[in-house]
Amino acid sequence: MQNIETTQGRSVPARKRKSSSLGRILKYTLVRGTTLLITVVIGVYLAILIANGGGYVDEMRKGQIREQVSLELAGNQEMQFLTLKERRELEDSMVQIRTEKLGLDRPFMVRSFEYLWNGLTLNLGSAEYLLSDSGSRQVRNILGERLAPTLLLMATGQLVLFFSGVSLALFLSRRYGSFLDKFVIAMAPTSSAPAWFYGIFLILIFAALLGWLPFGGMIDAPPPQTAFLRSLSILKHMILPVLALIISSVFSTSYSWRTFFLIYSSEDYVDMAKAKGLSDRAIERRYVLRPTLPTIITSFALTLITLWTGAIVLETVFAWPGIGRLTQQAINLFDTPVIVSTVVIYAYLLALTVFLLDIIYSLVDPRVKLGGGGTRS
Amino acid sequence: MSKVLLDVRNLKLYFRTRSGPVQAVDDVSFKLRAGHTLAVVGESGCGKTSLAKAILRLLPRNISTYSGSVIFDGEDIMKYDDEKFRKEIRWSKIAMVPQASMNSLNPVIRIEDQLAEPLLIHEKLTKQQASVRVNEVFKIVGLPVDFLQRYPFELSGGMRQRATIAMALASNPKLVVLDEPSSALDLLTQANLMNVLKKIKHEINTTFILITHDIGTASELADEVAVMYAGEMIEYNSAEYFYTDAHHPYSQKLMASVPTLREDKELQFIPGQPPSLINPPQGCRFAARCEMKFAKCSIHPNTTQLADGATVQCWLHDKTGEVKHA
Repeated sequence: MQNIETTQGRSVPARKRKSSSLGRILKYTLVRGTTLLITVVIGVYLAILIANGGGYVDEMRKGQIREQVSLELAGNQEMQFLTLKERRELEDSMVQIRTEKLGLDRPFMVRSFEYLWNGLTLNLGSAEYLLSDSGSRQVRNILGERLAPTLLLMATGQLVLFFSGVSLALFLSRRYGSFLDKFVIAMAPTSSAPAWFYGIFLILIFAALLGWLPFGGMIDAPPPQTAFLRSLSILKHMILPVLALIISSVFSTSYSWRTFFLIYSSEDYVDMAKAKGLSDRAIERRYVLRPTLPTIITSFALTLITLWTGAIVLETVFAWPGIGRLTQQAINLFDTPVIVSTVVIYAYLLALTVFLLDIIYSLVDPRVKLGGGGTRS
Repeated sequence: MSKVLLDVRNLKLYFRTRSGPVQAVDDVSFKLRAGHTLAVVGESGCGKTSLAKAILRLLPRNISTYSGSVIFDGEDIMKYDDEKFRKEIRWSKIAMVPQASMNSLNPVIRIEDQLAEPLLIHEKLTKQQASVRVNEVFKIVGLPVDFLQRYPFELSGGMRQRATIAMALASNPKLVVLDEPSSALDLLTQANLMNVLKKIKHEINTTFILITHDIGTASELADEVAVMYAGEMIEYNSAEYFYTDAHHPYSQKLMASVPTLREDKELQFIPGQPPSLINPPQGCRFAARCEMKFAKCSIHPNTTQLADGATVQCWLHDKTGEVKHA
């Protein structure tokens, strides 16, 4: 204790401390990135194991091959000239060839890791039924076309949700107990329904009943000539899905964030800031919003996970040409390579979102510590 | 004698609650001279912190009465509107070290920025000028200046408390209100902090109001002592006399409960608790616990000015002005 109280001797130059804080963020980013990558790998591998029934699907496919071969041979008129033994040998060799062609002769565990690698590198060969809009059968091309619309829709929705949520929550914490505050609290349970649920209502009201906005899709058909008009058209098509995303989350998020703000504004340093003669705006920004931000980001990360899960149905409801709609189409057609690749893409997107939030978290909170170490002195 | 810096007259601060108004500060009047230190002592919940908050106008939402006058440096600052009060009084003239001051630093802002903040706002200093000033006060409170670049969580509790004191001194305020600056600290750190305060008192001529329930430590700093009981200031005396010869029966009991080094005395305690501040007794608020209670105590006592300059709120001292020890 006394040692810490009289620390005249231990001086660290200011510049060194600044660079160490950059190092802290880099180290944190690296650790979080690795952790998330491991999570994605485990998740995808589990998905592969489940999709293959833990290797049992192989047995089923081997049985299928044998059944198919014997049916083919039985239906072949020429077979009656062969002896039973010859016929059996022919059948075995044909089964052998087809099994090897599919790689079923090698143990499942070995192949599962090949699947994993191919999945993670999105090296998924060609789709069984689906085609890309440009006519390619390559899964990678199909996904490439669908990725941008999904990113556009979800990123817009998430950003608008975050900023509207924070400002609404701050507003409510200022007018705590007001009618609007009570209204938001009362509306908070509506967030238990997913975005697509509200999407259907929005389509009913604004597209079917009022006719102000399109039913779905991403752009007018035929697309407008100039780039400006095209983006305007896309914007118009985005209004309803983004609105659905926001309605499904904004009440519960701003309710909980408002509570965080209220808790943090009763901290001693807020009183102190008031005694220091800071303006209300400065207090709100630097002494309430800043210290609460880490908590809000954590809560927002959880909200985003639910948003991503709902994206498949939301895109289907709004006929949005994104990955969610692709997933739904692929499931309907049993297009396994596409299904697996959408699983992988979603894992990546989710991990990326969490990763970005983690970096922001480490930027806004100097107290972020790593493992047992930390910077406490 | 130096001039009067702070003149508080009939200050009242009542809080609104469901069961009625809480009379946290009830009709408190006192004068404090520039350069002096006033120690405000009393039990928990008798309005000491509320008094500090009333002077600095740091009020919660549930205020029912806030009246009286606070004449600071010749001007009644109670008449200022909120914006003028914020710009002209807070921190530039009256600074404060709050209770649990170790929690009064923003965890996500570097200490230097927090200390410089009021200087940038009130004195319109440049960042460099503010930095020079902040370095100075950090040395005054005995902290190494490179700690300015740190975040509050990287400092120990005692260091944070000193950083808060440095923050209060940074803008050269005329009055610093210290609200139990050493509570929640261990004894060694408390002693350390008191030494820092003593040093500051001798080096820079600032006026302090020290709120504490630790009468022992207060004696090292105080020039004047005010005793609060149930929202009222029942005695205001110079420290010189107070520690040897307190007037109010409560003050006497309070002194009898403090251990001293040089005398060998049996410590006493005061039975019972202070009355609720919601509907306090009509008469003397201490009467229920007082050993010297008599019939007149059921009427509220006047504030009496005594010959030695002390004021006391007790019927024992009224009219005659002499101390009648029981």
